[in-house]
Amino acid sequence: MSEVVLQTEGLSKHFGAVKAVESLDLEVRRGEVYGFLGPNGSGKTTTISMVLGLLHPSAGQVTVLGRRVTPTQTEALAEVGSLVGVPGMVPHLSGRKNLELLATLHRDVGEERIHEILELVDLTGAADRKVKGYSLGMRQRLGLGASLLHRPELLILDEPTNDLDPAGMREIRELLRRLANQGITVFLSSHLLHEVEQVCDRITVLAKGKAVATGRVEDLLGGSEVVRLRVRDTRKTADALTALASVGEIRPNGHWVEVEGAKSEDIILHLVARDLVPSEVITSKADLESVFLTLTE
Amino acid sequence: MFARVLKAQQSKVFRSSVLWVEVGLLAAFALLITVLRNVTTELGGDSTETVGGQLLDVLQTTGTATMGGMLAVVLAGALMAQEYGWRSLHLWLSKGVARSTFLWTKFLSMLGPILLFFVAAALVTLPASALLVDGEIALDWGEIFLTVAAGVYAVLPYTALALLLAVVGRSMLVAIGGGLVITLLVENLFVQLANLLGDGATQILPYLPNMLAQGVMRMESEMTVAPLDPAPAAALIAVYTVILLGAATVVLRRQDLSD
Repeated sequence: MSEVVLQTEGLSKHFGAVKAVESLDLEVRRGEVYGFLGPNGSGKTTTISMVLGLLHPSAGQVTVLGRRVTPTQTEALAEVGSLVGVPGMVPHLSGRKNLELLATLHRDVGEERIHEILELVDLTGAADRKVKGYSLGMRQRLGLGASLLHRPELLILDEPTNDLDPAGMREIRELLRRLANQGITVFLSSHLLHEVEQVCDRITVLAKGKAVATGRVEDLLGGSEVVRLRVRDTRKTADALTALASVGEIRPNGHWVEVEGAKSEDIILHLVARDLVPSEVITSKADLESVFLTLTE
Repeated sequence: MFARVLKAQQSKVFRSSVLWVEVGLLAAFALLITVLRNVTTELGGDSTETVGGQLLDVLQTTGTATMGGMLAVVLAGALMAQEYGWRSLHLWLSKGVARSTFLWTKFLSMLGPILLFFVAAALVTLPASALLVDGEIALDWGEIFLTVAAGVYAVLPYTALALLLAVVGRSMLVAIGGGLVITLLVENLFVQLANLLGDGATQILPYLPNMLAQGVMRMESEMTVAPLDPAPAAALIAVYTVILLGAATVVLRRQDLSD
């Protein structure tokens, strides 16, 4: 098993009576692209802010690259690249000047690297324009570029494709995969499930501040099917299905009943034993969106 | 890391339009004062004015609360509060820059601009005074250097105050507004109150920052009590600065910096 580069143990954050994050345990291994999913207000940005030393945890701890991180102990973050919220650029300076300013923090980042980054995020043409004239998408790309300036070992991104057009989103996805192939570990939060499904190796799903599922994407999807049954009596069928242990959700819909959580063969055998033979059975694999919605309801 | 962050902070402050507007305003003020002074002495037939004397007077004025202090409050307050508004503070801290490093380098990066205020005042006053004052131009460079050094030093508590207010309030309004109120009004109110209350109360006046500035620059005071000698005045300026900057550091280290 590869090295753990980011770990949280019992991480919690309370704002008064509000428990924004509760006892969160995460382990991100070197080289993987790790997705952090959750609806708005589930605690994703709060968690990332604690990982980056911007918020004081109410409990628990954060370890990055083997070193503890707190708001007063952030040395480990020198090897981390991050993008949280709106990138903090100086608006009256150009994109290039902003990167030059950030480059002073690192001994080994020179003009050539800045030029490379500007090309990578497709801002060469706008590099000498003031950031206050940039669109949101351009600022986001500049922020992403800034996070990559010093060739970090770990990249922490909070919704990196926000405000990007579809072409931009695809470029970011491809970039993230390339970075992972180069050995850079990526931890990203996103609400764009299709994107996460394409890019991430493992994910954690957060709901109301708690992790409700963690694992490889294919494992989280694998056991989930949506089975649609065409039946004569939907109410009788739905009632019969409640007795099947593995069934999750049952949704009668006209002449159809949709069932989640159980395998199609188990459902059919169960109904046939009760003389409720469906005239049609359609099985589709759950996508991440339906799994996500089920987990976060 | 400290040196690299300081370099970046200095780069930011010298690229700030607030600094250059202030330098321009100060230069204009210094020129106006010099011209008016020479016009009035000309009218009054006073021939004791010298270029060196006028230069020293302008430099000393630059180091007081109403000039240098006010400019330092606006500059430091604006530049620190902007870091919150732009979220550049969040960006730098998430790159492993320690909170205390960020704040102390921000403070140290103000020394150059404060020195620039004095240089600008001198660059304007010297030629203007040389044109308007009759007689030889004899400058005591040692005295000029000491006055500038003392003036820069005298403004430090106001710089630290502005940083504290910016950190506490996280806004330009609190930093600059609060700083100017304290610098220009509160100290004067103390003075008025102390004068009303009598001799006992006026004993505290030499310990206020503006009078400490006069003490360290060896200015003549119009107050009923004399400023402290330069050495004790300098020590107390250091105490004020350390307390204010220390308080700002404690507050910043405890802050939650969320969206």
